[in-house]
Amino acid sequence: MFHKSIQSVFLISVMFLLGASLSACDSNSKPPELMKAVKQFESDEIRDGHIKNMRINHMDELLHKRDETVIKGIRTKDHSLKSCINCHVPDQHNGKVLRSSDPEHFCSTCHNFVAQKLDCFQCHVDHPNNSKVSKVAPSDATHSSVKFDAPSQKHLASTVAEAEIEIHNSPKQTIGEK
Amino acid sequence: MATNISFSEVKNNGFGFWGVLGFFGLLVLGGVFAFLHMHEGHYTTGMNNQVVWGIPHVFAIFLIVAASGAANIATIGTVFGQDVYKPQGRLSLALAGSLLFGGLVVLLLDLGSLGHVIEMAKGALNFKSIFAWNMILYSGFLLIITLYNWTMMDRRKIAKKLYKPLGIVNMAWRFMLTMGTGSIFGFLVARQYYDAAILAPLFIVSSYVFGTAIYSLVLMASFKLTGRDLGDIVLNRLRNSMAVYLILVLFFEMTRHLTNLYATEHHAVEAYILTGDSIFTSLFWYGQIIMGSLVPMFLVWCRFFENNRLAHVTAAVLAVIGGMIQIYVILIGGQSFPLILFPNAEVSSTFFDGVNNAYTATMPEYLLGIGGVGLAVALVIVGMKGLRLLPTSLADDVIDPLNLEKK
Amino acid sequence: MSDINSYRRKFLGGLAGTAAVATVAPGVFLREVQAKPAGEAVSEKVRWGMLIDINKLDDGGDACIEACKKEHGWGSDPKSNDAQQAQWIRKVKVTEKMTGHEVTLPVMCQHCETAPCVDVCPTGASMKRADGIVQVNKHICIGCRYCMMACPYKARSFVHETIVDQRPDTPRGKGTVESCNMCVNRVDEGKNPACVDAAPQAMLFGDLNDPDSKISQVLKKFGGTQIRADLGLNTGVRYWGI
Repeated sequence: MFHKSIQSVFLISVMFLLGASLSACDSNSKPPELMKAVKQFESDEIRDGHIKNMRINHMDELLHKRDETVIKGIRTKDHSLKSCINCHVPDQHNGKVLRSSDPEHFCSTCHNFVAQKLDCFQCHVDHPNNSKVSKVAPSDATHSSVKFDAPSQKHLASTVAEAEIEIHNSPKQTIGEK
Repeated sequence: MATNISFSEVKNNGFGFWGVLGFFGLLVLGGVFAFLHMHEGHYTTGMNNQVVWGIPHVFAIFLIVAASGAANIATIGTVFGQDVYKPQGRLSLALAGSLLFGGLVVLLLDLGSLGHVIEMAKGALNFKSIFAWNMILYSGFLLIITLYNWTMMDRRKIAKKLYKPLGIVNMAWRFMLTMGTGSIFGFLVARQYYDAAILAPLFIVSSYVFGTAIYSLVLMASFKLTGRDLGDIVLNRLRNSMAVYLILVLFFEMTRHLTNLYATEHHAVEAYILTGDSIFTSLFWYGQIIMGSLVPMFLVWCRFFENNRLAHVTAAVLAVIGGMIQIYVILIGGQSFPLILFPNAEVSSTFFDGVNNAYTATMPEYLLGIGGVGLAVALVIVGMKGLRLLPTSLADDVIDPLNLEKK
Repeated sequence: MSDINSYRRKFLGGLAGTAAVATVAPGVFLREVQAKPAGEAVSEKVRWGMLIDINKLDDGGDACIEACKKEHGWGSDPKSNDAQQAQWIRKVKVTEKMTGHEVTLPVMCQHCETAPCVDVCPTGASMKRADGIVQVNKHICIGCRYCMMACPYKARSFVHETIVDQRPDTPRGKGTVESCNMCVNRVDEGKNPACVDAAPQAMLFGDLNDPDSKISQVLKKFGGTQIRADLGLNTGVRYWGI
């Protein structure tokens, strides 16, 4: 009997704790405001359509489009995470670079609210990194004058020439009598 | 089978039991801490772009190979009709499952991008990769030994009917699993110390050594700590078979090295491992061959140590350490020797071409590996406590009728 | 001796003739294939390849390495030690033991036709694109490093720490494996890989499947050596001078 009352005390305390923890859920709370995009659509209609589409589909789209890009090499603007970032993340925010670890970052706003970890920015850069990019430009000027048509002649010619001198200088060789 | 052996759970409840379990639980905690520490990035480890697999993998591969061998005790009983082993089947399978699980957890926790394993579960599996096959083989093994153990423990007719078929399936599956583990290395065409079909059967015979040794130790420890009788008939069978398996390992190692020594292509790596200045040479000769194979064989077969339990324990412990050294030499030694892009040439670069790569493991790596061992043992202990895995007695007079039954 | 002379004359004469025929007309870019439209998938019709004439590389490939670092952002991960630092391309000095002959060459992913790294990857993250470029799909890479064990050229690197401020066109992340991807982002835009543009006198990029492409023509005429040709991997990167 004593054993049974221990059980019921335990059960009741667990249920009480669970019930008390429900108070942490605030049914009136909304996610914080999303940061305004850097670039805006031409019309409100397009913008609303985009918002609606993204709210419902953004994860499926991301999962699908990343395969299209990586495996098939399809790189249109709407397959580009870079273009999402360039639109939604400013170059600087309050004087410093905005990263996904900052709560105001566009993606982090909602992801922090629902406590779902963002995996994308392990690899993808989370802000427009254009200022640091110093891409290697195609060297058009040099191309036109470059002659890539045969193995280095200097190397071959010198080798053969030196070989000839050696043969000339050395005692009787049977090479020529093959 | 006609046997009057009964099984019971471990009934110990005192500080002894919880202390032992607590100790292995602490090892598991150490492993968890190590994982969280390594989550920062593998820069905290001694692994690098030259030696990509390190101490955690030595532990993991050892545990996985040992798991396959531990299940062999059950196989000898079921498939080969040796009645002395039949009562030991339950512990053998539980140990096999725990060892495998411990090894797999270590492997999983070392992965760089653990979250992406979910992608794999969603169907991204490349069946040309032996790794992918291994994942299926390992999970299937856990399932099969669960069912096989059920056929031993359930008294219903259906269970008894499935006992032998599952025993055969288990044996075949174990062969594939261990060959698959050896083939992880055997299929690497580029590495001088791998790229050999013999690695697959070498891992099979090694699994028998590791599994039998660990099983013997667990059997002796659990019977001693729970006050159960363990006779010499059972132990002699275990120690003699372990010594025979050691001979098989030596045979396969000799075949492998002699064949490599014939081919000029492999002279450099063989010289490095067998006669070089590096730690691998000492580990191979003193660690694996002498301490891990010859000394245990001597301890088992020398008449002076007949029926001597301390000698048996020592032999088993040395075989286990020798086994870990064997895996270390294969895994780390094989990566230490550089890739040969240009034969007959001296090579150098900023990417450590042409040099023997050094490797020093850091503490998190050891903690993770040991955590896997802890997990395996903790699982076995919990299993014996909750399930009727251990025979109440394996004394000689209980076992003797079974021993004499010649089928 | 006269045989040697006539042989030499024929050989040099042949070279000169070929040089005359194969000289690139001024103003024409060496990259002949037009970039595919952005929305079109890559196909097997094209197989990208590279030719490196190491005798024309005065610096042994240093400029190529710097260009690659600048393009993709590897090489200075702060927390990784020297042995853990990623290297997508490196300069290798080779001295043949018997002859003492020394060459220096840049080595990167060789983009094999039957790549061992692709075979061993359990998830298919290490993949070969239809157009022959071998790369890592980091979305599904679990970081097991098996591909690093399998690669005969030690082309792959593991990222040992958290990366920030990646190049927008080159995602790089902790716990995944990476390697030279033949600047797939530039190739898809119709440009050459960065290393090729850094050393255009010594490196050629083009379509190996097109018999009229520059690279196919010179390879047909003069051949091209593979590193570890014995493995039968049919690499897309070929060398002159090794």
